[in-house]
Amino acid sequence: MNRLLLKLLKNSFISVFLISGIIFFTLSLISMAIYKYDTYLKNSFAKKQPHIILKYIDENFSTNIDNEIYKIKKTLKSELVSLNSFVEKEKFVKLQKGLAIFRGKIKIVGLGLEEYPITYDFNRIDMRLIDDYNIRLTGIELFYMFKNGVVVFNRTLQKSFLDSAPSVSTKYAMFIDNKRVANVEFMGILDDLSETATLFMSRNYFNKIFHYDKNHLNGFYINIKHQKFLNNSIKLLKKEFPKAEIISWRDINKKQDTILTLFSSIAKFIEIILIILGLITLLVVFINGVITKRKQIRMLHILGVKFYQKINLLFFISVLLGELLGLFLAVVSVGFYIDVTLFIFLIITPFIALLLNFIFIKREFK
Amino acid sequence: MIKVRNLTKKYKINGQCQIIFKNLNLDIPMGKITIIRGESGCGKSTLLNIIASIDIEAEGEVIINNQNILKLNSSKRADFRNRLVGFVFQSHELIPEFSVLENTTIPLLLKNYSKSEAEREAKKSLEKLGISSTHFFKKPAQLSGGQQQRVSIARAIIHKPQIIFADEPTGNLDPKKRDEVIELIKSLKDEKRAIVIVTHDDEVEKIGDIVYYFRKGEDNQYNLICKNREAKKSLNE
Repeated sequence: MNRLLLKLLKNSFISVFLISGIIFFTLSLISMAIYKYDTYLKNSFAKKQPHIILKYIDENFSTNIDNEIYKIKKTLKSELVSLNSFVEKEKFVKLQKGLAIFRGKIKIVGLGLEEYPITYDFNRIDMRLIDDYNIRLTGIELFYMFKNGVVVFNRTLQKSFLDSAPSVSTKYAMFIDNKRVANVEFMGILDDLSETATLFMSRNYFNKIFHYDKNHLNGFYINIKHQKFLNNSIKLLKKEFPKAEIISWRDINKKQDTILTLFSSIAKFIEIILIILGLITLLVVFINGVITKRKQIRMLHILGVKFYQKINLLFFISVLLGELLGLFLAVVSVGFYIDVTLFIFLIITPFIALLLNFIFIKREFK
Repeated sequence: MIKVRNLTKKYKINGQCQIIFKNLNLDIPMGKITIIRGESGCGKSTLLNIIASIDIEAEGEVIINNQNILKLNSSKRADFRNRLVGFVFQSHELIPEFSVLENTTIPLLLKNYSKSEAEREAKKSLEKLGISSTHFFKKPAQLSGGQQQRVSIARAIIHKPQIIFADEPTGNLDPKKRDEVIELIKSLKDEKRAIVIVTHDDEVEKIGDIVYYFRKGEDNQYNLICKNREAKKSLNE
């Protein structure tokens, strides 16, 4: 008798199986694409250098830097990746090479190289010519000069007075408050999406230009291992350094954070809409393939068939196997990834098939 | 003998309880053709469905082989229908996805006959009812209405049921085919078999040994009246 039952519902089982597979495969691919792009964004914006700025409230703070470094290391322990002291000042700066001139009030930061210094390979940075004027470097959070080179990150510079694009390793004459202080190697313009123009240079260089004492200190850039350590690290630092302002990566990069959150929300919304569409499609296929057979199923039941549970089981298996096939194909195509929403979809859809059976078919077996 | 005792059927329509019939009693003897007639909506088919255990939502008793079939669970009723009952419907109710032969074999396959055995029996039965072997592998839709009804009758009798229920078996047929089907039903009469037919058709009524009529009483409910007094008397005896 199973043969007749299978013959009656074979096409329904196959269509439910195939459509489940196609829907799940498509959803897996979309979910994977969203995940990859999300990860890319996170890597670009967030995971690169999650950092904290410890800034002393007293601008003229002077101390033994080694002691402060010891305190930070002791507080953050293994969560610490790198640590750089800094001094900073807002100044009117002019960069000039021939007729190419930039001038404006910017923040100049002198970075120390005390502990675990960050090194950055220029060749690994995504450099793109955006338009005639700018070279934009993205995906960088903390970045600083090598040798006597200077790096400026800020998009405000893109709207600057420079009439030719600054390129990597181009030397400019630097004037501060209209006084020539050095020839600097201008490494590029970075877009960190913040509003204030910032010029980074080594602390020694900074001290030399501004005649600062070597113990003068405005704070530290502290890089930690991962975003998830951020809140806890801030808490510990606030406790250890009550006279300092602790600014998180998120505070400084609100725009990146907003973009990331917005993208995640939109991606999740799109995924949920697609999952709902997938469910509706599956429902239509189910109605088309199963519920239209109700009359025949009822007739078989009148004649003595009592395989309601087998029909139920076969539909459950068809949906589940279809989804697993879809998942397998997705894994083969793009690698394994399944997010929570998709996992819930995978689990609940066979039960939805059961529920539909219960609603539409079981009553034929009364 | 099928005994129906104090059978009451109610429907809920728009939240209001409507009684279709109340406290019906009837006896259906073996070896006879019992006809049930009445105007549209009087509950003839409902009564047939209850006696055939297709519909069990009713009060009272339907005793067949000393069992009240209204008390059986779904699985036992399915067994009961498969072992003892054959059905002929007005609209044939053949399964469109199956061939004529497959449709006919269903009751035997349910009785655990092998496929070849069931097909052998089905072929015999179909040929006996005038369906030639050229039609065996056709789908029901490829047959005429009369042929479909004959296939439906072949399916109803192939497992030699004790009771055959026929609901308007000539309802969709032209006079010539109707006469053929009537003759066929007459030929199914057997001492050990009860045939119960619900019909509007006067010609079908003529082959009945016992005829019951649904009549509306003063209380606006339908009661069952046995037309043949002689038959009624013999039933009472």
